[in-house]
Amino acid sequence: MTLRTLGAMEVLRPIEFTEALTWFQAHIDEEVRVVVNHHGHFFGCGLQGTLSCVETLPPDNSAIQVVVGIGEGLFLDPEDVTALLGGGASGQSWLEFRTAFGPVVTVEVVPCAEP
Amino acid sequence: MADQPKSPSAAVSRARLLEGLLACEGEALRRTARANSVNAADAEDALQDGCVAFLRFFEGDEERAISWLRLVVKRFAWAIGNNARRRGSHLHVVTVEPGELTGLEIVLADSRPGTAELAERAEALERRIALLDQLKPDERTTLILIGFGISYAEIGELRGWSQTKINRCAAEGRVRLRELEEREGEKT
Repeated sequence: MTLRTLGAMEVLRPIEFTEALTWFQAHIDEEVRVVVNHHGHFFGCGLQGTLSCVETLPPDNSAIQVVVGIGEGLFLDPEDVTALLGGGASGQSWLEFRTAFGPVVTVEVVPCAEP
Repeated sequence: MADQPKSPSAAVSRARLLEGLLACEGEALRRTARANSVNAADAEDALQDGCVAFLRFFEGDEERAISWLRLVVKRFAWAIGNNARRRGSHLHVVTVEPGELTGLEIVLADSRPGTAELAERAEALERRIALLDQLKPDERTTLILIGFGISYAEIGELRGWSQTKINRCAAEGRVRLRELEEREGEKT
């Protein structure tokens, strides 16, 4: 696996999927931005909203849905993705999920707007 | 994990909610199922499976119900499509000697688990969960956290437990789990 070079103080490291789940749990009720990209292609989409919950999906509970807002969100199967955690000295961290078939999803917390 | 409705009233309210969703969004759900299925029959199966899953598992707010159902229907549609492709990928080669009705038969099958194996695995998982329920709470918590890949040190931090307690809970929990499994095995 090749890691992206992000800068002197930033790292992106592979993590276990359970660690990614922990990250989500830590940011429940926070504003998050989810961005889908397929690097090298003009393709992608994004959504932003409150991270409501993370739930498993029937019938086998192997896949998860990360609910943003009142129902839509990000859904993925741990078997299909590699999870990475990014973060720098600033303390801000983000998640990245890479698929073998192309698309990459990034989830980051949106910093609170200045009053 | 809610395998069965918790109470009759919860089941009834879920059924009413589903009825309402199908009345208002039934056509849109059918379109979703069809768009993610190879044919109309598979789409109908996916929708039916999604509805059954909704009645068994949905626990969220009413406002989230439609997006939950839409996603689950899609997932069933993809699973049905994958299973169909898997069955189609089986290569069946038959050579017949002249004058013989049957000869050497070679079947190259996909090594991925089939529906029956998946069902067996799900049953085994349910049995294990039932056995875990019989452990002492701390033993259960320890084994589940270890199962999730949490280290002993992290469990100590999370629960405020000493390493000795974690070791004891893990060891005694495993022994008890093995005993319960053996007892279960003797019954069946």
